[in-house]
Amino acid sequence: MAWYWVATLLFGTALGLMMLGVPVAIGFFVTNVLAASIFMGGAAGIQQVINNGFGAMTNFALVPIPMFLLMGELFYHTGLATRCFNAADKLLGNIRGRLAYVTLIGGTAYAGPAGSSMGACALLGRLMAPEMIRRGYSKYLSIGPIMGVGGLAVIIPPSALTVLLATLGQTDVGALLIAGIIPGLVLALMYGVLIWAWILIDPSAAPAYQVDETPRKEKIRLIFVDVIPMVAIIVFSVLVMTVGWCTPTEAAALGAVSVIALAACYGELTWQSFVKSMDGALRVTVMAFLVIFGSATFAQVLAFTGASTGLVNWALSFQFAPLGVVFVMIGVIIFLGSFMDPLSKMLLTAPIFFPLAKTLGFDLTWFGLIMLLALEMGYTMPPFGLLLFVMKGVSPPGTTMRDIYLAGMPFIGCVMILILVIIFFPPLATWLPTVSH
Amino acid sequence: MRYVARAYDAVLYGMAFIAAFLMTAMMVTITVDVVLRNLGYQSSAHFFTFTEYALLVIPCMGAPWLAREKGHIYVEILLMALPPRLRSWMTVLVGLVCIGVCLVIAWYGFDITLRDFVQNEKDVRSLDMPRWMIVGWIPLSFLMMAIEFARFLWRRENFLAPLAEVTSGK
Repeated sequence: MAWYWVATLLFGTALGLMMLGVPVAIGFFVTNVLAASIFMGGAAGIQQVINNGFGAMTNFALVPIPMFLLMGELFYHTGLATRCFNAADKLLGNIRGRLAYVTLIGGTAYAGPAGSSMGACALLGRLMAPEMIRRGYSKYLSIGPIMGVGGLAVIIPPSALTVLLATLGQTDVGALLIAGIIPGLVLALMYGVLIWAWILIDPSAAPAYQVDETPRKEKIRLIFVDVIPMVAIIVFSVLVMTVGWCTPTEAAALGAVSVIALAACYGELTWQSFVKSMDGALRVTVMAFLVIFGSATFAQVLAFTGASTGLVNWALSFQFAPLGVVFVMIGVIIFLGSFMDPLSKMLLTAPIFFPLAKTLGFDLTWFGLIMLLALEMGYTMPPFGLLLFVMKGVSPPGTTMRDIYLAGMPFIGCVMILILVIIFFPPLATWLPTVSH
Repeated sequence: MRYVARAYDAVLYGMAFIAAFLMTAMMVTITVDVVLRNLGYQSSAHFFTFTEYALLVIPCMGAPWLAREKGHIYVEILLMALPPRLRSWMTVLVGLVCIGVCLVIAWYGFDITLRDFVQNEKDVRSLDMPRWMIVGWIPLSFLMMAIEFARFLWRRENFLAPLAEVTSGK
């Protein structure tokens, strides 16, 4: 069978089943079972699917995924994330738009390790948006920062999605995690400036209201008790990787243990909070690992049938400039973002995009970071980005889709600018990993 | 019949509990490994092997529980746009697809497990682990997932929760 029929069958079946509402993992399993029985010799092919799953799952590089997820859940359920929220809230005092900044800071702390901007969106949409609207914030400024959290969370380490993408692309996990630090800080700065400028242009977007001034002594206490220890854990997890004391896998496990130790120090570690954290982490781990299991053969069948090479050669035959190919890939990811979550998009596109990037001689860390940002951007891109609909589901009554589009656009614009900056100025992403090596 | 159902539930939740325990054990094992190494002691290569096997066993043990908890991620955009009656039929169809593929994997997985057992196949890492002891979790997990999906269909219950709830674990 010609490679393009194979590619159509594989992508068509996977996408078709997913569009019909078949759970993503099951969709991948059906596609693989079908493809393996056609192209890999019937029953023997199906057995190969299972053996591939066995091989793909027992891979040490995947360990950071459950560990980062556990870290995020512990952070949330032990109340450490709430402490961060409260500390940021009090420290920012009477700054105009305080709650918008708090949403960004707190949301990133939660969404980063948890790797789920959708979960963060659902949580913040219920928690922060009503509070901001009650305080007289405009609808747009109440919703916008929540939409911006995902872009930030996906690149600032620790991030479970980053680990998975690096594993799929067979590139250095540590390098990709570290590569996100500077762009993440740049994006945070861009968001900060955006909110500041927004309020400057339209002061009614965040009306000034008097909050009780926190005494200086209390502020110092908050910094030392509630801020520095939390930030220290994140910095510690990244630092031990950067200086080479641990692998990313080990850093992730140490990070999770550190959160437990910190929660115990605060007296917040209860059996109930631990069980809830395990429950949350297990849910996402099992879901994500089943999807990985299901898609383990996908890339192999693509390669085995020549569809990977065919697709790569076909893409190259247009003789676009290499950067043109990057833009096409970003376009595909954004299109898929209309109906798929980043994890599924990643598993569908990585088997084609990474070989293509390799053929074109791109730095895979640089490319991986662009892909991560595009995955998140596609998720929030109007008119059909999946996160927009989740936001609609949890927004205060009376919020229209148009409100959500308009609220998200400036933040999506920031991610878009960041992608362009990374494309045209690669050291922003590649300098830190190179130095740390 | 009620006792069978209770025993089955105990196995399902027991497996999820073991999965959570393994995740904790994995975290502790890696931490002990790093600490020992940095203190200059030789740590065990079996730590590494245990972690790798746990990565397969955890999702296998947790998958039936996840199906029970309606925790599978899916694309809802088209499904939610359908009229209720059609959506209900579509959900049944999706359920049948889920049952079908889970049974296929369970069947062939059992075949592999049996062959590995009969031929005494070993998975060679830091220790020679009988392969059937690890692979065997795959057919069990998929069989139980098929039962879970069938249970939802039998009770005429929708097994797809709204996506925002799935992802936020509510």
